[in-house]
Amino acid sequence: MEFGYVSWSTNTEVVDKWNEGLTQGKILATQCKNCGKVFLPPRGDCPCGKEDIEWLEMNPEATLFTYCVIMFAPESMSDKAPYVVAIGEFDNGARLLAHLFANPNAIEVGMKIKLVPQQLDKNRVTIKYVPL
Amino acid sequence: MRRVAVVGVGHGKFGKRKDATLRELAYEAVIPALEDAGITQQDVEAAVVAIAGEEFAGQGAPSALVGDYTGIQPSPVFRVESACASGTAALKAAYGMVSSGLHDIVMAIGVEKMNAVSSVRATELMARAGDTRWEYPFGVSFPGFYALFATRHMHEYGTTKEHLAMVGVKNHYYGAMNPVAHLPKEVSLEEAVNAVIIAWPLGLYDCCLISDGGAAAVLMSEEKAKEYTDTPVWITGIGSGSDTMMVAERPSLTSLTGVRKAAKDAYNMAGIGVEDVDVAEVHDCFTIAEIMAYEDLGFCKPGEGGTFIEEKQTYIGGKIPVNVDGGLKSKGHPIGATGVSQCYELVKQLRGECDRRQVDGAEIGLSHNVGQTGQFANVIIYSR
Repeated sequence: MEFGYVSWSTNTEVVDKWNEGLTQGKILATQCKNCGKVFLPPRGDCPCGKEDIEWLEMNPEATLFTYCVIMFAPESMSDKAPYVVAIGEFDNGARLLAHLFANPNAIEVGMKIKLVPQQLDKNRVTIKYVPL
Repeated sequence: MRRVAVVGVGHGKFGKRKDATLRELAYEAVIPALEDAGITQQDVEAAVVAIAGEEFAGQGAPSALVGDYTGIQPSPVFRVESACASGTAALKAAYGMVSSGLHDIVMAIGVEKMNAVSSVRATELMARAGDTRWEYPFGVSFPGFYALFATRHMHEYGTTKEHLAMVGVKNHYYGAMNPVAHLPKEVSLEEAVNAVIIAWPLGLYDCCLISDGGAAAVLMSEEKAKEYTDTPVWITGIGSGSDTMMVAERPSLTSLTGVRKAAKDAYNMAGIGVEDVDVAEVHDCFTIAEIMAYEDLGFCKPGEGGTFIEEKQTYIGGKIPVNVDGGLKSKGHPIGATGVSQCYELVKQLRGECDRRQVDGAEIGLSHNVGQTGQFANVIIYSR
Protein backbone atom coordinates (compact mmCIF):
# COMPACT_ATOMS: atom_id res chain seq x y z
CA MET A 1 0.00 0.00 0.00
CA GLU A 2 1.26 3.47 -0.91
CA PHE A 3 0.52 6.64 1.05
CA GLY A 4 -0.70 9.89 -0.48
CA TYR A 5 -1.83 11.13 -3.87
CA VAL A 6 1.76 11.07 -5.07
CA SER A 7 4.74 9.55 -3.36
CA TRP A 8 8.43 9.69 -3.73
CA SER A 9 9.82 7.89 -0.75
CA THR A 10 9.91 4.14 -0.23
CA ASN A 11 7.87 2.39 2.46
CA THR A 12 9.39 1.39 5.75
CA GLU A 13 7.86 -0.68 8.52
CA VAL A 14 6.51 2.52 10.07
CA VAL A 15 4.80 3.62 6.86
CA ASP A 16 3.36 0.13 6.33
CA LYS A 17 1.90 0.09 9.83
CA TRP A 18 0.47 3.62 9.38
CA ASN A 19 -1.10 2.57 6.05
CA GLU A 20 -2.50 -0.60 7.60
CA GLY A 21 -4.11 1.52 10.33
CA LEU A 22 -5.69 3.75 7.70
CA THR A 23 -7.20 0.79 5.84
CA GLN A 24 -8.79 -0.21 9.16
CA GLY A 25 -10.18 3.31 9.65
CA LYS A 26 -7.64 4.29 12.33
CA ILE A 27 -5.24 7.23 12.64
CA LEU A 28 -2.14 5.91 14.37
CA ALA A 29 0.67 7.80 16.07
CA THR A 30 3.77 6.69 17.90
CA GLN A 31 4.99 7.68 21.34
CA CYS A 32 8.43 7.40 22.87
CA LYS A 33 8.24 5.30 26.05
CA ASN A 34 11.36 7.01 27.36
CA CYS A 35 10.58 10.72 26.96
CA GLY A 36 6.85 10.59 26.27
CA LYS A 37 6.93 12.55 23.03
CA VAL A 38 4.06 11.83 20.63
CA PHE A 39 4.73 11.65 16.89
CA LEU A 40 2.00 12.31 14.36
CA PRO A 41 2.71 11.30 11.65
CA PRO A 42 4.49 8.37 13.30
CA ARG A 43 8.26 8.16 13.62
CA GLY A 44 10.10 4.95 14.32
CA ASP A 45 12.99 6.75 16.02
CA CYS A 46 12.85 9.33 18.78
CA PRO A 47 15.57 12.02 18.77
CA CYS A 48 16.21 11.13 22.43
CA GLY A 49 17.93 8.02 21.04
CA LYS A 50 16.32 5.35 23.24
CA GLU A 51 14.50 3.58 20.39
CA ASP A 52 11.58 2.49 22.55
CA ILE A 53 8.47 3.38 20.59
CA GLU A 54 4.85 2.33 21.09
CA TRP A 55 1.83 2.85 18.85
CA LEU A 56 -1.36 4.58 19.86
CA GLU A 57 -4.64 5.45 18.17
CA MET A 58 -5.46 9.16 17.82
CA ASN A 59 -8.76 10.84 18.52
CA PRO A 60 -9.39 12.05 14.92
CA GLU A 61 -11.17 15.28 15.92
CA ALA A 62 -9.13 18.43 15.44
CA THR A 63 -9.31 22.21 15.24
CA LEU A 64 -8.32 23.99 12.03
CA PHE A 65 -5.01 25.75 12.77
CA THR A 66 -4.41 27.23 9.31
CA TYR A 67 -5.18 26.59 5.64
CA CYS A 68 -4.54 27.70 2.09
CA VAL A 69 -6.12 27.07 -1.29
CA ILE A 70 -3.69 25.83 -3.94
CA MET A 71 -4.71 27.22 -7.33
CA PHE A 72 -1.41 26.60 -9.13
CA ALA A 73 -0.15 23.14 -8.19
CA PRO A 74 3.12 21.27 -8.58
CA GLU A 75 3.28 19.20 -11.78
CA SER A 76 2.42 15.93 -10.05
CA MET A 77 -0.83 17.39 -8.65
CA SER A 78 -1.84 19.70 -11.51
CA ASP A 79 -4.96 17.73 -12.40
CA LYS A 80 -6.28 18.02 -8.84
CA ALA A 81 -6.11 21.81 -8.34
CA PRO A 82 -7.72 23.71 -6.84
CA TYR A 83 -7.55 22.02 -3.45
CA VAL A 84 -7.46 23.12 0.18
CA VAL A 85 -4.38 22.28 2.25
CA ALA A 86 -5.00 22.44 5.99
CA ILE A 87 -3.18 21.91 9.26
CA GLY A 88 -5.31 20.51 12.08
CA GLU A 89 -4.43 20.56 15.77
CA PHE A 90 -5.43 17.54 17.86
CA ASP A 91 -6.43 17.30 21.52
CA ASN A 92 -2.95 16.05 22.48
CA GLY A 93 -1.30 19.02 20.77
CA ALA A 94 -0.11 17.12 17.69
CA ARG A 95 -0.57 18.78 14.30
CA LEU A 96 -0.85 17.26 10.85
CA LEU A 97 -1.12 18.52 7.28
CA ALA A 98 -3.72 17.12 4.86
CA HIS A 99 -6.33 18.26 2.37
CA LEU A 100 -9.59 19.69 3.75
CA PHE A 101 -12.68 18.79 1.79
CA ALA A 102 -14.91 21.82 2.30
CA ASN A 103 -16.16 24.83 0.39
CA PRO A 104 -13.34 27.41 0.66
CA ASN A 105 -15.89 30.15 1.41
CA ALA A 106 -17.10 28.24 4.46
CA ILE A 107 -13.66 27.64 5.98
CA GLU A 108 -12.53 29.48 9.10
CA VAL A 109 -9.46 29.04 11.28
CA GLY A 110 -10.66 27.52 14.55
CA MET A 111 -13.47 25.43 13.03
CA LYS A 112 -13.89 21.82 14.14
CA ILE A 113 -12.70 19.22 11.68
CA LYS A 114 -12.08 15.48 11.63
CA LEU A 115 -9.28 13.48 10.04
CA VAL A 116 -10.48 10.44 8.09
CA PRO A 117 -8.69 7.83 5.98
CA GLN A 118 -9.51 7.76 2.27
CA GLN A 119 -8.82 4.82 0.00
CA LEU A 120 -7.78 6.29 -3.37
CA ASP A 121 -7.51 2.99 -5.23
CA LYS A 122 -6.62 -0.63 -4.49
CA ASN A 123 -3.01 0.20 -3.66
CA ARG A 124 -3.15 3.77 -2.47
CA VAL A 125 -4.52 5.34 0.70
CA THR A 126 -4.45 8.87 2.08
CA ILE A 127 -6.03 11.00 4.77
CA LYS A 128 -8.30 14.03 4.55
CA TYR A 129 -10.02 16.46 6.86
CA VAL A 130 -13.75 16.98 6.70
CA PRO A 131 -15.80 19.58 8.65
CA LEU A 132 -17.44 18.23 11.81
CA MET B 1 39.81 34.38 13.66
CA ARG B 2 41.04 36.89 11.11
CA ARG B 3 38.88 39.78 9.89
CA VAL B 4 37.37 39.23 6.45
CA ALA B 5 36.35 41.87 3.90
CA VAL B 6 34.31 41.81 0.72
CA VAL B 7 36.56 43.55 -1.81
CA GLY B 8 34.76 42.90 -5.10
CA VAL B 9 31.20 42.13 -6.19
CA GLY B 10 29.59 41.27 -9.52
CA HIS B 11 26.01 40.78 -10.63
CA GLY B 12 24.42 39.55 -13.85
CA LYS B 13 21.05 40.53 -15.23
CA PHE B 14 18.28 38.57 -13.50
CA GLY B 15 15.39 37.41 -15.65
CA LYS B 16 13.99 34.77 -17.94
CA ARG B 17 17.31 34.41 -19.74
CA LYS B 18 16.77 32.50 -22.96
CA ASP B 19 20.22 33.70 -24.06
CA ALA B 20 22.15 32.14 -21.19
CA THR B 21 22.65 28.81 -19.45
CA LEU B 22 24.31 28.10 -16.12
CA ARG B 23 27.83 28.74 -17.44
CA GLU B 24 27.11 32.14 -19.01
CA LEU B 25 25.12 33.25 -15.97
CA ALA B 26 28.10 32.44 -13.73
CA TYR B 27 30.53 34.15 -16.09
CA GLU B 28 28.64 37.44 -16.18
CA ALA B 29 28.78 37.63 -12.37
CA VAL B 30 32.34 36.38 -11.80
CA ILE B 31 34.20 38.56 -14.31
CA PRO B 32 32.78 41.88 -12.99
CA ALA B 33 33.51 40.74 -9.41
CA LEU B 34 37.16 40.07 -10.30
CA GLU B 35 37.41 43.46 -12.06
CA ASP B 36 35.77 45.18 -9.10
CA ALA B 37 38.33 43.60 -6.75
CA GLY B 38 41.20 44.40 -9.10
CA ILE B 39 42.37 40.81 -9.35
CA THR B 40 42.44 38.02 -11.91
CA GLN B 41 41.43 34.38 -11.68
CA GLN B 42 45.03 33.47 -10.84
CA ASP B 43 44.67 35.32 -7.52
CA VAL B 44 41.61 33.31 -6.50
CA GLU B 45 42.73 30.50 -4.20
CA ALA B 46 39.34 28.78 -4.01
CA ALA B 47 35.68 29.31 -4.90
CA VAL B 48 32.50 28.15 -3.20
CA VAL B 49 29.55 27.80 -5.56
CA ALA B 50 25.91 27.99 -4.46
CA ILE B 51 23.49 26.15 -6.72
CA ALA B 52 20.30 24.93 -5.08
CA GLY B 53 19.12 22.32 -7.57
CA GLU B 54 21.03 20.63 -10.33
CA GLU B 55 17.72 19.36 -11.71
CA PHE B 56 16.79 22.90 -12.76
CA ALA B 57 19.83 23.30 -14.97
CA GLY B 58 20.12 19.64 -15.94
CA GLN B 59 23.83 19.62 -15.15
CA GLY B 60 25.40 17.22 -12.68
CA ALA B 61 28.39 18.45 -10.64
CA PRO B 62 27.54 22.03 -11.71
CA SER B 63 30.22 23.77 -9.63
CA ALA B 64 32.92 22.11 -11.76
CA LEU B 65 31.38 23.70 -14.84
CA VAL B 66 31.26 27.09 -13.11
CA GLY B 67 34.91 26.86 -12.05
CA ASP B 68 36.03 25.86 -15.53
CA TYR B 69 33.96 28.32 -17.59
CA THR B 70 34.86 31.32 -15.42
CA GLY B 71 38.58 30.50 -15.60
CA ILE B 72 39.06 29.77 -11.90
CA GLN B 73 40.27 26.25 -12.71
CA PRO B 74 42.79 24.85 -11.57
CA SER B 75 42.02 26.50 -8.22
CA PRO B 76 39.55 24.34 -6.28
CA VAL B 77 35.78 24.75 -6.35
CA PHE B 78 33.02 23.03 -4.44
CA ARG B 79 29.30 23.41 -4.16
CA VAL B 80 27.12 24.13 -1.14
CA GLU B 81 23.38 23.66 -0.93
CA SER B 82 20.95 25.10 1.59
CA ALA B 83 17.94 25.50 -0.73
CA CYS B 84 17.17 29.23 -1.15
CA ALA B 85 19.78 30.09 1.50
CA SER B 86 22.59 28.49 -0.54
CA GLY B 87 24.07 31.88 -1.47
CA THR B 88 24.75 32.90 2.12
CA ALA B 89 25.96 29.36 2.86
CA ALA B 90 28.61 29.91 0.16
CA LEU B 91 29.56 33.25 1.73
CA LYS B 92 29.75 31.61 5.14
CA ALA B 93 31.99 28.82 3.86
CA ALA B 94 34.21 31.35 2.06
CA TYR B 95 34.35 33.47 5.21
CA GLY B 96 35.44 30.45 7.24
CA MET B 97 38.20 29.58 4.79
CA VAL B 98 39.60 33.10 4.92
CA SER B 99 39.11 33.84 8.63
CA SER B 100 40.74 30.54 9.57
CA GLY B 101 43.85 31.36 7.56
CA LEU B 102 43.40 28.46 5.15
CA HIS B 103 43.21 30.92 2.23
CA ASP B 104 43.63 34.67 1.69
CA ILE B 105 41.35 35.19 -1.33
CA VAL B 106 38.18 33.14 -1.87
CA MET B 107 35.16 33.73 -4.10
CA ALA B 108 31.54 33.02 -3.29
CA ILE B 109 29.51 32.47 -6.45
CA GLY B 110 25.74 32.02 -6.55
CA VAL B 111 23.97 30.99 -9.72
CA GLU B 112 20.77 29.30 -10.84
CA LYS B 113 19.22 28.50 -14.20
CA MET B 114 15.57 27.92 -13.39
CA ASN B 115 13.79 28.59 -16.66
CA ALA B 116 15.27 25.61 -18.48
CA VAL B 117 12.16 23.83 -17.16
CA SER B 118 8.49 24.90 -17.28
CA SER B 119 7.02 26.84 -14.35
CA VAL B 120 4.82 23.88 -13.40
CA ARG B 121 7.94 21.67 -13.38
CA ALA B 122 9.86 24.27 -11.35
CA THR B 123 6.94 24.32 -8.88
CA GLU B 124 7.22 20.54 -8.66
CA LEU B 125 10.98 20.57 -8.03
CA MET B 126 10.62 23.19 -5.31
CA ALA B 127 7.71 21.31 -3.69
CA ARG B 128 10.02 18.31 -3.27
CA ALA B 129 12.01 20.38 -0.81
CA GLY B 130 9.07 19.77 1.53
CA ASP B 131 9.04 16.52 3.54
CA THR B 132 8.59 14.00 0.73
CA ARG B 133 7.00 11.35 2.92
CA TRP B 134 4.42 13.36 4.84
CA GLU B 135 3.79 16.80 3.32
CA TYR B 136 4.80 16.69 -0.35
CA PRO B 137 2.13 14.00 -1.10
CA PHE B 138 -0.53 16.67 -0.53
CA GLY B 139 0.80 18.86 -3.32
CA VAL B 140 1.89 21.75 -1.14
CA SER B 141 3.60 24.20 -3.46
CA PHE B 142 6.14 26.65 -2.07
CA PRO B 143 3.60 29.48 -2.19
CA GLY B 144 1.26 27.05 -0.44
CA PHE B 145 3.49 26.72 2.63
CA TYR B 146 3.86 30.49 2.91
CA ALA B 147 0.11 30.85 2.38
CA LEU B 148 -0.33 28.65 5.48
CA PHE B 149 1.88 31.13 7.39
CA ALA B 150 -0.08 34.07 5.97
CA THR B 151 -3.48 32.69 6.97
CA ARG B 152 -2.24 32.10 10.50
CA HIS B 153 -0.62 35.55 10.72
CA MET B 154 -3.91 37.11 9.60
CA HIS B 155 -5.79 35.08 12.20
CA GLU B 156 -3.46 35.85 15.11
CA TYR B 157 -2.66 39.49 14.39
CA GLY B 158 -5.29 40.85 12.00
CA THR B 159 -2.78 41.25 9.18
CA THR B 160 -4.64 41.92 5.93
CA LYS B 161 -4.23 41.06 2.27
CA GLU B 162 -3.58 44.78 1.72
CA HIS B 163 -0.64 44.63 4.14
CA LEU B 164 0.83 41.79 2.12
CA ALA B 165 0.28 43.69 -1.12
CA MET B 166 2.02 46.78 0.29
CA VAL B 167 5.25 44.78 0.55
CA GLY B 168 5.03 43.88 -3.13
CA VAL B 169 4.25 47.48 -4.08
CA LYS B 170 7.33 48.72 -2.19
CA ASN B 171 9.66 46.12 -3.67
CA HIS B 172 8.44 46.81 -7.19
CA TYR B 173 8.83 50.56 -6.58
CA TYR B 174 12.54 50.08 -5.87
CA GLY B 175 13.01 47.24 -8.35
CA ALA B 176 11.89 49.60 -11.12
CA MET B 177 15.08 51.59 -10.40
CA ASN B 178 17.39 48.55 -10.46
CA PRO B 179 19.01 47.78 -13.83
CA VAL B 180 19.63 44.10 -12.95
CA ALA B 181 16.04 43.44 -11.85
CA HIS B 182 13.97 40.71 -13.49
CA LEU B 183 10.72 42.71 -13.45
CA PRO B 184 11.69 46.38 -13.14
CA LYS B 185 8.22 47.90 -13.12
CA GLU B 186 6.00 49.57 -10.56
CA VAL B 187 2.78 47.93 -9.43
CA SER B 188 -0.22 49.68 -7.84
CA LEU B 189 -1.81 48.51 -4.60
CA GLU B 190 -5.03 47.83 -6.48
CA GLU B 191 -3.28 45.64 -9.05
CA ALA B 192 -1.42 43.74 -6.33
CA VAL B 193 -4.50 43.10 -4.17
CA ASN B 194 -6.62 41.96 -7.09
CA ALA B 195 -4.04 39.82 -8.87
CA VAL B 196 -4.72 36.21 -9.79
CA ILE B 197 -4.47 33.86 -6.80
CA ILE B 198 -1.57 31.40 -6.70
CA ALA B 199 -2.25 29.92 -3.26
CA TRP B 200 -4.91 31.73 -1.27
CA PRO B 201 -4.37 34.19 0.35
CA LEU B 202 -1.26 34.81 -1.79
CA GLY B 203 -1.70 36.30 -5.24
CA LEU B 204 0.70 36.81 -8.13
CA TYR B 205 2.27 39.94 -6.63
CA ASP B 206 2.81 38.20 -3.30
CA CYS B 207 5.11 35.63 -4.91
CA CYS B 208 8.70 35.98 -6.04
CA LEU B 209 9.72 35.35 -9.61
CA ILE B 210 11.26 32.22 -11.12
CA SER B 211 14.50 33.76 -12.38
CA ASP B 212 17.81 32.92 -14.00
CA GLY B 213 20.91 34.77 -12.87
CA GLY B 214 24.16 34.91 -10.98
CA ALA B 215 26.06 37.00 -8.44
CA ALA B 216 29.61 36.78 -7.11
CA ALA B 217 31.75 38.22 -4.32
CA VAL B 218 35.49 38.25 -3.63
CA LEU B 219 36.43 37.82 0.03
CA MET B 220 39.89 38.66 1.36
CA SER B 221 41.81 38.61 4.61
CA GLU B 222 42.44 42.04 6.17
CA GLU B 223 46.04 42.05 5.04
CA LYS B 224 45.17 41.27 1.41
CA ALA B 225 42.17 43.63 1.39
CA LYS B 226 44.45 46.54 2.28
CA GLU B 227 46.58 45.77 -0.77
CA TYR B 228 43.63 45.96 -3.15
CA THR B 229 41.12 48.51 -1.84
CA ASP B 230 40.47 51.62 0.25
CA THR B 231 36.81 50.74 0.61
CA PRO B 232 36.58 47.26 2.13
CA VAL B 233 33.22 46.09 3.42
CA TRP B 234 33.70 43.91 6.48
CA ILE B 235 31.71 40.84 7.37
CA THR B 236 31.29 41.46 11.09
CA GLY B 237 28.59 38.98 12.03
CA ILE B 238 27.23 35.66 10.82
CA GLY B 239 24.42 33.74 12.50
CA SER B 240 22.58 30.66 11.32
CA GLY B 241 19.71 28.44 12.37
CA SER B 242 17.39 25.68 11.20
CA ASP B 243 13.85 24.44 11.66
CA THR B 244 11.75 21.28 11.47
CA MET B 245 11.31 19.55 8.12
CA MET B 246 7.57 19.23 8.61
CA VAL B 247 5.97 22.64 8.81
CA ALA B 248 2.86 21.37 10.62
CA GLU B 249 4.71 20.41 13.80
CA ARG B 250 6.27 23.81 14.52
CA PRO B 251 5.15 25.55 17.71
CA SER B 252 4.49 28.78 15.79
CA LEU B 253 3.55 29.36 12.15
CA THR B 254 3.97 33.13 12.33
CA SER B 255 7.68 33.18 13.16
CA LEU B 256 10.75 31.21 12.06
CA THR B 257 12.73 29.78 14.97
CA GLY B 258 15.91 29.44 12.92
CA VAL B 259 15.79 33.07 11.82
CA ARG B 260 15.41 34.28 15.41
CA LYS B 261 18.45 32.25 16.42
CA ALA B 262 20.42 33.40 13.37
CA ALA B 263 19.62 37.07 14.04
CA LYS B 264 20.54 36.87 17.72
CA ASP B 265 23.86 35.19 16.95
CA ALA B 266 24.69 37.62 14.12
CA TYR B 267 23.92 40.71 16.22
CA ASN B 268 26.01 39.30 19.07
CA MET B 269 28.97 38.44 16.87
CA ALA B 270 28.90 41.91 15.28
CA GLY B 271 28.44 43.54 18.68
CA ILE B 272 25.49 45.59 17.46
CA GLY B 273 21.77 45.90 18.11
CA VAL B 274 18.97 46.03 15.59
CA GLU B 275 18.84 49.82 15.99
CA ASP B 276 22.32 50.04 14.44
CA VAL B 277 21.24 48.52 11.10
CA ASP B 278 20.98 51.18 8.37
CA VAL B 279 19.78 49.06 5.46
CA ALA B 280 18.52 45.49 5.17
CA GLU B 281 18.12 42.84 2.51
CA VAL B 282 15.48 40.33 3.59
CA HIS B 283 14.29 37.13 1.99
CA ASP B 284 10.91 38.17 0.55
CA CYS B 285 10.23 34.97 -1.37
CA PHE B 286 6.63 35.84 -0.49
CA THR B 287 5.26 39.08 0.92
CA ILE B 288 4.32 37.36 4.18
CA ALA B 289 7.97 36.26 4.47
CA GLU B 290 9.08 39.90 4.53
CA ILE B 291 6.50 40.75 7.19
CA MET B 292 7.67 37.79 9.30
CA ALA B 293 11.28 38.90 8.74
CA TYR B 294 10.53 42.38 10.16
CA GLU B 295 9.31 40.68 13.31
CA ASP B 296 11.91 37.90 13.59
CA LEU B 297 14.81 40.30 13.02
CA GLY B 298 13.44 42.70 15.64
CA PHE B 299 12.64 45.59 13.28
CA CYS B 300 9.21 45.66 14.93
CA LYS B 301 7.33 43.65 17.55
CA PRO B 302 5.68 40.29 16.75
CA GLY B 303 2.37 40.90 15.01
CA GLU B 304 3.19 44.48 14.00
CA GLY B 305 4.73 43.69 10.61
CA GLY B 306 1.57 44.67 8.75
CA THR B 307 1.36 48.07 10.40
CA PHE B 308 5.11 48.54 9.91
CA ILE B 309 4.79 48.37 6.11
CA GLU B 310 1.54 50.36 6.18
CA GLU B 311 3.49 53.18 7.89
CA LYS B 312 6.16 52.85 5.18
CA GLN B 313 8.83 52.24 7.81
CA THR B 314 10.79 50.07 5.40
CA TYR B 315 10.98 52.66 2.62
CA ILE B 316 14.02 54.95 2.36
CA GLY B 317 13.32 57.63 4.94
CA GLY B 318 11.53 55.17 7.26
CA LYS B 319 12.98 53.44 10.31
CA ILE B 320 14.87 50.81 8.32
CA PRO B 321 14.92 50.62 4.51
CA VAL B 322 14.36 47.02 3.35
CA ASN B 323 14.93 45.51 -0.09
CA VAL B 324 15.59 48.79 -1.85
CA ASP B 325 17.01 46.73 -4.74
CA GLY B 326 13.54 45.29 -5.41
CA GLY B 327 13.96 42.15 -3.32
CA LEU B 328 13.21 38.67 -4.57
CA LYS B 329 9.83 39.99 -5.65
CA SER B 330 10.95 42.44 -8.33
CA LYS B 331 14.69 41.87 -8.69
CA GLY B 332 14.06 38.14 -8.93
CA HIS B 333 15.08 34.95 -7.17
CA PRO B 334 17.54 32.67 -8.98
CA ILE B 335 17.69 30.45 -5.90
CA GLY B 336 21.43 29.90 -5.43
CA ALA B 337 22.27 33.48 -6.43
CA THR B 338 20.02 35.28 -3.96
CA GLY B 339 22.23 35.33 -0.86
CA VAL B 340 25.20 36.56 -2.90
CA SER B 341 22.97 39.11 -4.65
CA GLN B 342 22.05 40.47 -1.20
CA CYS B 343 25.78 40.79 -0.48
CA TYR B 344 26.24 42.67 -3.79
CA GLU B 345 23.51 45.18 -2.93
CA LEU B 346 24.75 45.77 0.63
CA VAL B 347 28.36 46.25 -0.50
CA LYS B 348 27.15 48.80 -3.07
CA GLN B 349 24.98 50.52 -0.44
CA LEU B 350 27.82 50.72 2.10
CA ARG B 351 30.12 52.11 -0.59
CA GLY B 352 27.46 54.67 -1.55
CA GLU B 353 27.12 53.47 -5.16
CA CYS B 354 23.34 52.97 -5.44
CA ASP B 355 22.24 56.23 -7.12
CA ARG B 356 18.51 56.85 -6.68
CA ARG B 357 18.17 53.86 -4.38
CA GLN B 358 21.01 54.95 -2.09
CA VAL B 359 20.36 54.95 1.67
CA ASP B 360 22.35 58.02 2.66
CA GLY B 361 25.27 57.38 4.97
CA ALA B 362 24.59 53.67 5.34
CA GLU B 363 27.31 52.08 7.48
CA ILE B 364 25.82 48.78 8.59
CA GLY B 365 23.82 46.40 6.41
CA LEU B 366 21.96 43.20 7.26
CA SER B 367 21.30 40.26 4.95
CA HIS B 368 18.59 37.72 5.84
CA ASN B 369 18.49 34.64 3.62
CA VAL B 370 16.06 31.79 4.25
CA GLY B 371 16.01 28.33 2.70
CA GLN B 372 12.88 26.23 2.13
CA THR B 373 10.31 27.29 4.70
CA GLY B 374 12.83 28.19 7.37
CA GLN B 375 14.84 24.95 7.49
CA PHE B 376 17.88 27.05 6.59
CA ALA B 377 18.45 30.57 7.89
CA ASN B 378 21.51 32.79 7.61
CA VAL B 379 21.87 36.38 8.80
CA ILE B 380 25.01 38.26 7.80
CA ILE B 381 26.04 41.71 9.06
CA TYR B 382 28.17 43.88 6.78
CA SER B 383 29.98 46.96 7.99
CA ARG B 384 31.87 49.79 6.31
